[in-house]
Amino acid sequence: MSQRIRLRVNGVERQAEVPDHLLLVDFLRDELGLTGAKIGCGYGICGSCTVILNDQVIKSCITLAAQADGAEVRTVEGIATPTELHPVQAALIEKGGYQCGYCTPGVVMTATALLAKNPNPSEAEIRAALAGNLCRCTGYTRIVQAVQNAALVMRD
Amino acid sequence: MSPATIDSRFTYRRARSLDEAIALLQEHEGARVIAGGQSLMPMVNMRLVSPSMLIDIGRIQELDYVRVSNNVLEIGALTRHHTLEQSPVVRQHCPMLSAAAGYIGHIHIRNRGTIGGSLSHADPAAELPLTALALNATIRTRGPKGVRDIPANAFFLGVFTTALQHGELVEQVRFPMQTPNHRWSLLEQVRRHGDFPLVAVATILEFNGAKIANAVIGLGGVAATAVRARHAEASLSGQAPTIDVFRSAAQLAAGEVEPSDIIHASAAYRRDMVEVYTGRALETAA
Repeated sequence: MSQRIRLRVNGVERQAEVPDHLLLVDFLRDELGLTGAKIGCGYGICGSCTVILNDQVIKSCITLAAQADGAEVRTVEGIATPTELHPVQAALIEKGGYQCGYCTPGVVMTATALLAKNPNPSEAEIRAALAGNLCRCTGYTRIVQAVQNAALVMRD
Repeated sequence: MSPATIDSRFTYRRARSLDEAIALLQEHEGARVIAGGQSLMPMVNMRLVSPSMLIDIGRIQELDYVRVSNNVLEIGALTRHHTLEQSPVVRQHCPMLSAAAGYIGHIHIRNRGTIGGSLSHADPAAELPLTALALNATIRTRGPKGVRDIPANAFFLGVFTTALQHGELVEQVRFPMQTPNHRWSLLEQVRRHGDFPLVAVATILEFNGAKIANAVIGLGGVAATAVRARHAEASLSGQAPTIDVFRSAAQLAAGEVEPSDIIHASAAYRRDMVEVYTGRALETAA
């Protein structure tokens, strides 16, 4: 069986006929070619598949494409312009808040959603928000510093 | 493509009303209900369950509400954990429920997961079943034979097992309102932020003057369901809230559960942690 879905992804209206069991992350990656969201654990723990659905961060590996019908989805591909990185991305580079980069798109989306709701988060709030995004390289300190820096830049 | 997608084959149906969901559930053997899907989809992906159909109730807006009626906090089954955590009404009238929601997973999960889903899933270590038990909540279900009001202590029957019958769904969860006279705490031991707790303890102390009149001690994660430590509770009645009284109650609580060895901890350690966390929870509440 398949479902006809309509959704906006990074501001672009999309329509598709998707298998009932298709996961949102597979739809984004395989149907739309948006490979920023990664499949890490496949059960909602690691956060590599984090995207923003109707202004809320979610895990796209435990969400069906059919459940996103009618939604507004943002992925890491949709937050920067071709000429300018999003402040969170720029800060991650500046602070060295990544190494292998696998978790980075998810971290970027979680941090972006946090700063949209809370422009001046405390370190504890940043760490709590990022608790659902595992990074096995950095030890998190530089990621947290990057989010603090991005918050400063975005408040200016 | 994710490995999960290759062999999980199910039909997806979106229910427009609770009655439609109930009818679909009755018609289709092997159908499961999905709301937020934050427990069900991981289980599907890990092949722990293979539903023939997923009935999505996530769009039934009239199941998403928090309201007060006749001194009862009524919560629609589709209310998200994040709403429970943030809602001023929940914070005011049922602060333990709000605190419990804040312990669940992380923000991504709380944005999607629902109270009806968590209670129906009945994970023995989950925070909401423990809170429902400790606060004497009533679970209102709807099914082919109509509505039932099931007290939390009769709803959770075992690991992932509830009193829900074929075709029944959780419609509403009813919490008696906490009063300022209820001192309470909810503590848990987790290995990592957002994990299911090794042990969770919910306590409520009701005072009569300087003495404890009534005590509730709920334990999560150490039995097939959340349980009340009845002997420990009884030992507190009529007592002054001293460290010694709490310590002996905590010892009693540890004797009331039979945790088993699990991959993360031995049975003896888990029992010790019941004592430690019960003691701390009682001191925190007082």
